[in-house]
Amino acid sequence: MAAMNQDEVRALDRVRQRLQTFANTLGALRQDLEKSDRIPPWPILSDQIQTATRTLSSLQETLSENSAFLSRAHAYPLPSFPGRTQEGLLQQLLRKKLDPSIEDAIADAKKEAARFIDGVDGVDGEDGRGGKLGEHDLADLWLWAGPGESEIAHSIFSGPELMDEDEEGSEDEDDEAESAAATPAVRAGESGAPNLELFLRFMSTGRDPEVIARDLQREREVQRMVAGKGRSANVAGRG
Amino acid sequence: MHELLLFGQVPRARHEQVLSVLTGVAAMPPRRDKRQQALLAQLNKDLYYTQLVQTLTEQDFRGSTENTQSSGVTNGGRGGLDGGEMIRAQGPWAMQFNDLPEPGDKRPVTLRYTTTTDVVDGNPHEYMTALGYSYVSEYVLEGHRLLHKDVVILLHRILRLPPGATPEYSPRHPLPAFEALVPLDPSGAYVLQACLRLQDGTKPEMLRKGTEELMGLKRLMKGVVDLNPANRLSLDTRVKFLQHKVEEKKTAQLPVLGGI
Repeated sequence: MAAMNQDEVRALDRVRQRLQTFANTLGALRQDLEKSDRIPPWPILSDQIQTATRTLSSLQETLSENSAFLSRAHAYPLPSFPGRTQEGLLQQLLRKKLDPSIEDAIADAKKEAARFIDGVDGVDGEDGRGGKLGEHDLADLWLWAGPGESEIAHSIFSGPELMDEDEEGSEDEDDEAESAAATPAVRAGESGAPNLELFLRFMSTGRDPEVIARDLQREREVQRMVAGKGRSANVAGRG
Repeated sequence: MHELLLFGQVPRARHEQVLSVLTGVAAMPPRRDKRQQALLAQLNKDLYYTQLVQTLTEQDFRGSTENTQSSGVTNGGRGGLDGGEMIRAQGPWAMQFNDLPEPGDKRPVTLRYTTTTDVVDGNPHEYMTALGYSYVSEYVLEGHRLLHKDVVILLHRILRLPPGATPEYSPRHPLPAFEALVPLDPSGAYVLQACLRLQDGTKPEMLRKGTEELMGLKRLMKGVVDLNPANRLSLDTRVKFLQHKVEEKKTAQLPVLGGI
């Protein structure tokens, strides 16, 4: 077997680092959720989830960059490896198949994803064929639901104007679609009253409030798009 | 000088209640506080917004009541005002610069650098214009000010000049009648700002003490008003969209020329 060159060692090391960061982030998140007596507030949770998504996507990047090398790399224990004392580790290193529990988790995730993402586009719930959403439909939904939702949130926070009944109905649907996909960034933006944001921006820059409101909405949409992208990358990565 | 900040939002309906609570907390009657803030942007140098701040009294508004009524009709009179007499010494002005808050996710309060320079004499607007600043907009802060330990508590709302009364080049004087000002938020919500000034925000010890005091207030106000640090970028005082501004200026020149 040809000895590994410097680049390959470095690639391995990078993967290791990314994995460790990711594991740490997830560990911290999990500990927060399990140990704290009350669920941490949304902004903090969304921050953590975003960090996790970021680390995951950087891990994925590293993996795909070095996929050629990583797919043909194998573990060869040297004779000097302390096989007696470190048997567990050795077994783990030599195991080719995934852990059964992880395999189950992957199968579950695939099943869940299949409910939403189907190969066929354009089959939505309206024609009564048990709504499977194509990836395209999902993107459309997000494009529509994003601005729609922020408008509703804005009207709630900005004043006593009451909404129409049917508007509320559509909001419920919207909520359902959203809680299925619960994008943390959006939630955070919602709870941190947008008006205050507008006040502060106006006080700092004195720009036309309408311009500021438009900017805020645009920023929120971009955030949402980014979060949405990260999510679909996750699903694709698992599948 | 640095300052530590926390912000909260108070709906119009709860304003009186919160003010009473604050009066109790601070053990002092709230002081009425009105200020005119003019925002100036420097286009050629640092690209930061700087504010001219002036404390106002009732007189600043009352004296101008008839003036608003007449200037609403004659546009030319307003144009002359902009060009010529501008700011007379009514109350002292101060130049205020707030920096973009320091980064740091973990900090429970907003920390930013700020300087205030009192203007003793002269016309601050002319001075700023000579330095390369240009007038962007202005607003009036109206509300109450209280002091709790070392924390300055401001409960105020932002009022804008009525549409059409916004001058193009310089802070407006005299101001229109107080009743004519338009709140920025249509529902009339107030902003609660808790501010603690530090002589030197780079000293960790002082920073820690100040943060503790502000967090103490936050705990005290729990259930009344949620006090939180602001999103860093919403306090961004860097000038953006220069192109946009330049265009705005170009179009703004036309009516003035027409008026003359």
